[in-house]
Amino acid sequence: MSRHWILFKTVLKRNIIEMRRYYVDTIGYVINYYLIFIFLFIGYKSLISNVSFTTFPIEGVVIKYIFWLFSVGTLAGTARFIIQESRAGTLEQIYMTPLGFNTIIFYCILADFITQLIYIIPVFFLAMLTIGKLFFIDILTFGIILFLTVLSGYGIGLIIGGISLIYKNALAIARNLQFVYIGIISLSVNSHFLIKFLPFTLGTNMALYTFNRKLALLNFPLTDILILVFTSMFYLFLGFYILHICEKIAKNKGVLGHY
Amino acid sequence: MKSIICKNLTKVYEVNSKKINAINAINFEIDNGEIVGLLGPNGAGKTTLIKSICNLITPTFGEIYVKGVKNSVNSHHLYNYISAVLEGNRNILWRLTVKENLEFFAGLQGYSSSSVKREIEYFLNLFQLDEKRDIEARFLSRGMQQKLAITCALIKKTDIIILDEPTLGLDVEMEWKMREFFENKDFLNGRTILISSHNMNFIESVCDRVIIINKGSIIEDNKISKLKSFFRAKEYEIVVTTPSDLKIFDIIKEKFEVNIKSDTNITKLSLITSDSIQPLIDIMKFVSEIGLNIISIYSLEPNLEKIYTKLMKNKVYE
Repeated sequence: MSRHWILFKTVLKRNIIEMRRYYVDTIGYVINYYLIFIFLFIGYKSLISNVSFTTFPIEGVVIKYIFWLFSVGTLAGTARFIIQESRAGTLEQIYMTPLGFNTIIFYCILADFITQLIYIIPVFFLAMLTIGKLFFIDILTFGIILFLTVLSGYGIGLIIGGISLIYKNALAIARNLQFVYIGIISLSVNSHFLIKFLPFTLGTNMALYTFNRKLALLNFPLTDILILVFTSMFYLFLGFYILHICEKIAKNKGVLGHY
Repeated sequence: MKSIICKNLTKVYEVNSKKINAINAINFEIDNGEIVGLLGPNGAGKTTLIKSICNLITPTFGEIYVKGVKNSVNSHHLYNYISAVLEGNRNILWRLTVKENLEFFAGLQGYSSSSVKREIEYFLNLFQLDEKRDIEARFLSRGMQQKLAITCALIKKTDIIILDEPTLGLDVEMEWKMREFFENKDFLNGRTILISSHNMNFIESVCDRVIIINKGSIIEDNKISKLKSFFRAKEYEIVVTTPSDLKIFDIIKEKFEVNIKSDTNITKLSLITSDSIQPLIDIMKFVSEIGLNIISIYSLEPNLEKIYTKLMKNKVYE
């Protein structure tokens, strides 16, 4: 068995064990996320009494909410992961893997994405039940768009994680970013071309089209697909690059495992 | 090929615009299969040295080679050879059970759970963690957690194991077990071990060689047996009957460099000599002449703790 596969399985297994062992937390997250949606839905219902229904379709609210949950998850999977391991004193042990720190962080990202799915899929179905509509889902298209979209979020999480290696408490930035993401995800890509290059925006808009217009991945303009791939890779690699720089600074200062 | 080579290793920290030399031009080599103790007072630079070897701290100057390759160049090579238990860190995952921790750290090294099954059982039995295998690490006592941390380092099956304060929190029985374990040549099987500890007895029984550092510099790097022979028979204790007139001790002190510990019945005169035993003969002659009965004379066998204390006081080569 490849060492990479073993490492990935090890990281994923840890996430799953902790999810199962602390099931009250797990269920709590799902309930919390669902309750937030309920309030959003109530707010939406009072809003549509004043505005045209077609301007704000309910599908848009659900999809944007789901993407926002993933965006918050990306911060937890990277920045909070690095901060928590550092606090727990295990970061240096995790660092000392023959496959390298960046590799283990990458597998943590993949494992975190899978874990997020376990949390968010039930919320998605509960949200559909609440609004009384079952969405048509092209799982492949939606899955690819979602995965590419969240990679940019993981990239930003890595930047904050990197900063936390040096300055230690960067959780405040992560907390504030959750709210910034609400704004970014709400943006329409039609208002300005450059908005497509922000994390989450293009992916969220494309995901909406998969529901509204029942578009498969290949039905999207090639430029949009390329921009989505470019944006996710850009933020992800930027994240890894800054994490690497911060790791070097932290090692120079001798504070890699400090908290 | 040497296991570890440190060349001119220096680490300078900048704290509030002030430069602090944590380690200063350190040079040493550790052969394959050697068990080396790293001693020094708090703040001597032991942890900085250990973390530099593990490439967790970047030295300001100097180079470290692990199994022939510069440690900062190839983490794949480095962590295939080195595992460490770092002092002050938890080293283990508190939310996982004992067995899950072992599987996790084996996995980080690239070993599947099934491929280390036998080793896991062996270590669980050896370190008496068997009954606790399904207990989360956070519920274990400090000593148990320390044992688990050491076991997690051992499960990685690396050639070089670095242990920073491994006996911290261990009870006496477990400390003995640990000693036995590191004295077991079957397990060691050519492994190189670097142990930093304040526990002199542990270091003395386990290690072949000690490196003593103080204020960031090596003040001694020698085989323990050599250090002992260097100090052997240089300290004597002469036990005499306590005289009625204690003023006699003032006369002895004037004539000889001795420490005197006295109670109602017996008095111990401790004498440290240079290479010659003439001072011992002189003092024996003198105490006989003034009428004190010599009960016994001991040549004190030095232990590592005494040697270390003397080295720290910088008295050794006077």
